[in-house]
Amino acid sequence: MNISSNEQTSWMLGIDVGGTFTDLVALDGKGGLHSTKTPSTPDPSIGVMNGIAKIAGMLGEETGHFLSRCSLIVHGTTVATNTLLEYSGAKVGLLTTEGFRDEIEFRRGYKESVFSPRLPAPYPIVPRRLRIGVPERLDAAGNVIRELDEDAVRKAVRFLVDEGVEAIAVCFLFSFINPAHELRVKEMIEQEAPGLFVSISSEVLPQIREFERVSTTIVNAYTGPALQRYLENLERSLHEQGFAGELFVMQSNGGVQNIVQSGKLAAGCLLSGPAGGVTAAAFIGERIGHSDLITVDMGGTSYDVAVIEQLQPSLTTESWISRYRIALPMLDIHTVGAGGGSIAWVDSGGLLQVGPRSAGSYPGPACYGRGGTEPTVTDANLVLGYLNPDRFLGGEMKLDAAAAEEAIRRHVAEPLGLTVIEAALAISEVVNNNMSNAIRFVTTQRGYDPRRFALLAAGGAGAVHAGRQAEDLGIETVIVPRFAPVLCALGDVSANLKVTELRTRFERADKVDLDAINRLFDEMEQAAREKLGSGRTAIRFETRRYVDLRYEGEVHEVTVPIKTRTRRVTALNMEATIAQFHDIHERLFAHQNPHSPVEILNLRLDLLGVRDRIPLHEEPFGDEDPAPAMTGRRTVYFGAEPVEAAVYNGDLLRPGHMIVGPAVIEQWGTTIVVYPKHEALIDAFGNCMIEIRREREGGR
Amino acid sequence: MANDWNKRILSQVVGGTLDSVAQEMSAVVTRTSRSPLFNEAHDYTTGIFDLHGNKSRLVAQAPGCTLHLYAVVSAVDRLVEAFRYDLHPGDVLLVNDPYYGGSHSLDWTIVTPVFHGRKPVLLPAVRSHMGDNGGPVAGGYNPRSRDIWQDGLRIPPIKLYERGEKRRDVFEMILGNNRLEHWLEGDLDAMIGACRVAEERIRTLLERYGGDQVREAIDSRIAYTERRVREEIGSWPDGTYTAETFADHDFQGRRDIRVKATVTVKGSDLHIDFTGSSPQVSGFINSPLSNTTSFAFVAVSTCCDEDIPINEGYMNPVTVTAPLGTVVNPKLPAPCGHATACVGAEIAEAVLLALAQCAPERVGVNAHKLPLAYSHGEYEDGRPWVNLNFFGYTGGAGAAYGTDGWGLYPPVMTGVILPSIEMTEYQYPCRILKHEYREDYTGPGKWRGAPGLEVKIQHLAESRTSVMMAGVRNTIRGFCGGGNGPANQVVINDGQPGAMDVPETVFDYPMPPNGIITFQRSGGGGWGSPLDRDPEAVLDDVRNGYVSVDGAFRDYGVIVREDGKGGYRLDADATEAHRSRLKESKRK
Repeated sequence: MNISSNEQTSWMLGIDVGGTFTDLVALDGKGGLHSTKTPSTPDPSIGVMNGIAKIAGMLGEETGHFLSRCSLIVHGTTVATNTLLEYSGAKVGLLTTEGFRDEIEFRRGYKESVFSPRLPAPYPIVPRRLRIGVPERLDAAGNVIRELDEDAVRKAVRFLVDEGVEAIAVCFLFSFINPAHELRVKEMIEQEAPGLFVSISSEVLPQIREFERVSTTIVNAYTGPALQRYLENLERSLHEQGFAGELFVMQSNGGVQNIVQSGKLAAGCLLSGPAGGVTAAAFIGERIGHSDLITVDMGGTSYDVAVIEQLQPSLTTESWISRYRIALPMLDIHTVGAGGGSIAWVDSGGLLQVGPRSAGSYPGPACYGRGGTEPTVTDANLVLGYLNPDRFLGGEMKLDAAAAEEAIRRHVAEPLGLTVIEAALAISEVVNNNMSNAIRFVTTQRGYDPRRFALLAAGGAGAVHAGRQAEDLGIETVIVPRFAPVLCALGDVSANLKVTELRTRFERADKVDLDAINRLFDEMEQAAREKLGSGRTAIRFETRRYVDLRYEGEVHEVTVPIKTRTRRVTALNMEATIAQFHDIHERLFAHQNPHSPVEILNLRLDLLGVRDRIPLHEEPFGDEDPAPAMTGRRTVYFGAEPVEAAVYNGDLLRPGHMIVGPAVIEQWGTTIVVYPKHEALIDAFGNCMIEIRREREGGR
Repeated sequence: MANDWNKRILSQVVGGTLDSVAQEMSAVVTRTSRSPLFNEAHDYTTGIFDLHGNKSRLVAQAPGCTLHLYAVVSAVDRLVEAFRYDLHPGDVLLVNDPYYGGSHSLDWTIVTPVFHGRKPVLLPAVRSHMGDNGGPVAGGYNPRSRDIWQDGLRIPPIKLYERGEKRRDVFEMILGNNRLEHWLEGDLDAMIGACRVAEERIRTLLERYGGDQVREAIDSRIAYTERRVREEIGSWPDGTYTAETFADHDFQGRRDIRVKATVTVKGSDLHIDFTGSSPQVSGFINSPLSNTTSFAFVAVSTCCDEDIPINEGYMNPVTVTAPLGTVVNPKLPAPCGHATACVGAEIAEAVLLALAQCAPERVGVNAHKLPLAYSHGEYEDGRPWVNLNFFGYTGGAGAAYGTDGWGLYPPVMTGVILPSIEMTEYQYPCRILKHEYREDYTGPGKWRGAPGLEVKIQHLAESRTSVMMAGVRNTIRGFCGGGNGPANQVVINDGQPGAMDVPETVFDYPMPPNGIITFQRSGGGGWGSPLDRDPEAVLDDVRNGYVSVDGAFRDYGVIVREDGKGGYRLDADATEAHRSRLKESKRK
């Protein structure tokens, strides 16, 4: 069903709450997009309501009336993330197989430092006294070899309730093959303590490897109650103001889900914020004909990088967040401490370092004039002339260039015996290299050649640096989307509904039982359908099947899509899938072995509720000359020699305008640096497309 | 000046890129190797070397199993020495001989030269613990070994590929001498694949910056590391500090084998002298000089800041001497199959105990003192399996200044990732019955060691098990007044007919189907006096079952009482009185 085409007055709203700003994108039925930002608030729902009032005002509507005409709100929220980062989650108890209650503390032996004995243990989100082993055991085939001791379960649940837990996580060995004991325990908890948040591993992540499963299940129990509470409150506030549509939440996997499922699977919402940006990038890439993208988003404290291949964002199951292992498939977003607020410092060996410590948004960089004295990346960018002290955030904030210079002089230039400009250049060079290495981490380390990707830059300063990463990595095109400052909110409003199901099934690929596999896929599809709910906003459903394969003996598996034209996987489909596995293995690891037996480990299924495409507004190309948007010239440093660069007001640039670097484009919420010899063109959608000259091999 | 900052920044760029290449190599090995030692346990390390005159230098490395870290340096050196005038693009070199810069012959080192123009410039290398190494015993640990040939296959520097051509005959010779032929080829492919990936990245780097610039950048990065390490050593008071520690036995009847370290700090130089250590022994615990140096460096590394890039610069301020013919520098053909555990652990322990006298707040890592046990049998189809019973002995993290030990292994071992229980039960005919911390089974201290473990493993099929005990007579040591760990214990056929409480070593002990092997694995050593531990922390330990009420009294002088509601409370006054009495009587 297409909800927007019939009713022209219906609105859809994407809302992304970040650390500093709450971003909103409103989409009307005719493809018109409107966006704004408002400061985030300690209780994020207040910022959300402020933002809605602000955007309604911009559209000349009264808030209640506007909300009553919103059919859909999609929300990117960091509530679950912050709960885990700040360790402010629920008091959680764990029930697990007797004899195995310490796996969460063992972490398979993993430590973040391989040298320092001084690194302390992670904060225990479930301390040992709240982890209780209960008698029960399955074997590797899922057979019960020790019956569940229900008396012991009851006793344990009562103990935990007396201790005041707000959530119980349950994780038994081999429950991914046979969930009967976990399901029974869940039932018993619901009888003993109705209303308690229960998280069982066979529902959260029915996948082999007990540590990964227990960690993910515990994190789900730890963050679930807070997210559930927040979403219910938000929905109530929205309803009170007249909203009668559906409220969805952006998921870590790049799809959206209703709030009931999101609350149950909070561990799947830990990347709810940044996932929107990656999703939006894929959406924009499709419109402008770039299906292979590297996306970068530079915020105040961090720099997020992700890869999109053939319009599909890369996924990973290898994440650690806040020192806890989350094995749910999520967008593979690699984060490094290279944001605008990242602090530059000289270490005891005389080496310049940038980050990971950040001045954050408060006091922020020295140039914010709020008492920060340490030099940051933003300070260096200001000193080098990339930023305009009078037009930061559209002029909402004045920057203090003298304070930036002083900070750089004291902390970098003097210790290293450099001039302030040299020191700022050095800061810029180091942070650029950190960024380039972050991109290498998600490309070359994963077997992708960055040269065949375009670089899509978002965030306030992503486009200040992107030209450098493009040169470093041999990338020929940089895309700065028109909606760069609110990219995540745009992703929220444009994403499809998505449910990911997973089942472990361990067998040799050449002896596969296709009937059993097809039965499992059917079961997974049904489960996914139920979780998707009404799916009212979807125009059609799409099922994608995958299988995790590896050579016998390998422990890491590769997810390979199964290409079927029907709902059944045939022998031929399976053969083709295995052939593709060998190729992917070669790409990732530089060798393949077609004679080695291949093992199946997991089956995966994505059910997508595909939503109607957002019709983006397009304008024909006009004059090439950008003179009408030029606001002046200023001195900019790309090396020790000063360069005069033209400065443009990006909000006045029109499709067809062509700018040859060096130049700076200042637009609301973002600054674009067009490096010497780079060429920037405004495309029909208002995106800034920068072409980089391909260096000769061995050049520079 | 402008030129100077450019160069300095360039060294950072090139160095950072080489580090990321070493990490990429590591990712390739993990994901594509076949034997659980690689892919589950990560018992390998990757590094990049350059050629500096006739010597190779470590330029960058990725954290894997740090115990390989410096052994790989001398192995690469020997390989370069052997093929100095016979290196060609496409060559792949291999060595495992402990007397050619190795540690024990289970650790194999693969190196490929990367050329710039006509010269070999950089050398990516992978060093790994292989699943088997031929020889008399599956899995390679042969406690009856009397010489290096009884440790397993001895491979001097050889070429596996010459100018890109696979030497099929050499491969066949190696595969034909290995029980895990089906894994070995995949593992070698993974190691070589990692080097090939590195080769491509390094070539791009050389093309982009040119050989001279890359060389300068590497020099400056090595100098940087050296500066940082010298700064750390320079902050320790000058003097000579001596400590000794003992290995329980050599598995062939000789007991209490001494490792003695005399550490001299002079300005920013550190000299470690192992004079006074026991003569070499007939059992397989002898540590070749490269292994000894490796463990000494690892001990020093744990005392430095961990953000210092690991490269040749780490080694420049430190010198190591060990008299030939001792257990820490044996003469050919002394066996050394067990050296990476014993006396490797004692070497690191002796160095740290000496350093504790001048840098008490920096030391903390404990020796691992593994009660190593491996079982072997056959799958139903007749193929052999070797199960290293990792769950049984992985543990023993010690305390450090400011923090309790935690998790399982001490940090230097934690590149090593424990397999998953579920995956293990799929892959081997075994069942893990228990894998949990054990109460009161660690070194107490102001900061205590990580709790010890109780582990029960059942082998479903008929099997044979060999156990090499360690840490029984000479347990894991505490530092600066912290308590030592308790004794390790292993029982084969626990609670079953034929039960055997392993005294020092057993070899191929028969276990009937469903035989159970039980491990009581010591936790780590403590740091500082247990009487100085915060009583609230002790109470917390009691609540969490790490320490019993009796243990709190006995080990910490803390009086914890039951609160009558099923919980516990601290008797602060009684504790204070009791502790001051204890301290008083100690002073007397």
